[in-house]
Amino acid sequence: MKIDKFLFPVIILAALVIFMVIGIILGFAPAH
Amino acid sequence: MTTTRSENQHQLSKIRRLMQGFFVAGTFLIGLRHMLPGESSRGGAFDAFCPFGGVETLWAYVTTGQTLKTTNLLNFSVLLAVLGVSLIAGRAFCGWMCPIGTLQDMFAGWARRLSGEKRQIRGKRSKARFPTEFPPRVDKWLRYLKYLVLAIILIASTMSVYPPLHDICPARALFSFQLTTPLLVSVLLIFIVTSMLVKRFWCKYLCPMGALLVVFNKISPLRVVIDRDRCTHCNRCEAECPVDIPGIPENIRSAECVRCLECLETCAVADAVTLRLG
Repeated sequence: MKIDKFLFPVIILAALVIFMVIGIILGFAPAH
Repeated sequence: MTTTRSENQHQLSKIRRLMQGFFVAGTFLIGLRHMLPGESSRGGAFDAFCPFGGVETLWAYVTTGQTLKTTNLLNFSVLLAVLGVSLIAGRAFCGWMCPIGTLQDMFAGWARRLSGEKRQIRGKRSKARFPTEFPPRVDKWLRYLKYLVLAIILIASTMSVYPPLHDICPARALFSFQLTTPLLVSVLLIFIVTSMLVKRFWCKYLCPMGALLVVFNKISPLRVVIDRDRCTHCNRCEAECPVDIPGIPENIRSAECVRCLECLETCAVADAVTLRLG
């Protein structure tokens, strides 16, 4: 399926944020 | 109203530069944060924000049961985020987010200007003396060096207290504001000089993170596709490729591709290069 090229940065930024949040929810964050 | 190709031209490159600048600024602020006194300097060390620090400490933890010093749990979150991006879009992290890659692009631009190029014409091979390329045979073999670097670092991770890349990491040399050892100063100078001599020298030949992400180029669903019937073999895409992938129409699925989409931006034939899912 063809994807609009301008969606590419949106997709990768969204993936970065979503997986980062998953990591933090899983407890991979420094304790204070 | 439909947007014509000419209206859209090179907009994506500008967005990429903007995004790269954002990540460089972010890394710069993380480095600066640890220089500040008080509350703002708390939290993990500079290394704790490194995705490859996550690889090193995870490997050490799996093999020895111990995590490495100066790394912490945040490394796993950063690593997970980078792996998530790679799972979807291959090595897009290298092409769009990695601050080391961005600075190499910047140093290569400086080298082009210093060696006589006044204006770079998109899709045309630069006539500047630098950055240059190694002969194809040498380049091909040198690209395997990063896998050796990855293997050495993983082995060293099981035997060391600190992340083995810690003392020779260009990101630390560039952003941590802690040029405390002659070795790190040498790394900084070598990094700048090699980036000016050869495009993305660190990415192509030495980066262990890039070596690890190679596998995702083969399995990610989001990929660049070339319509061979439309391709005129003009080599405009090859001229713009930041990692100098040879024979791009045939090697569009190369493990070396950093998914910068410059080939897609540069192609003069409508729909010859497209972004596809699946």
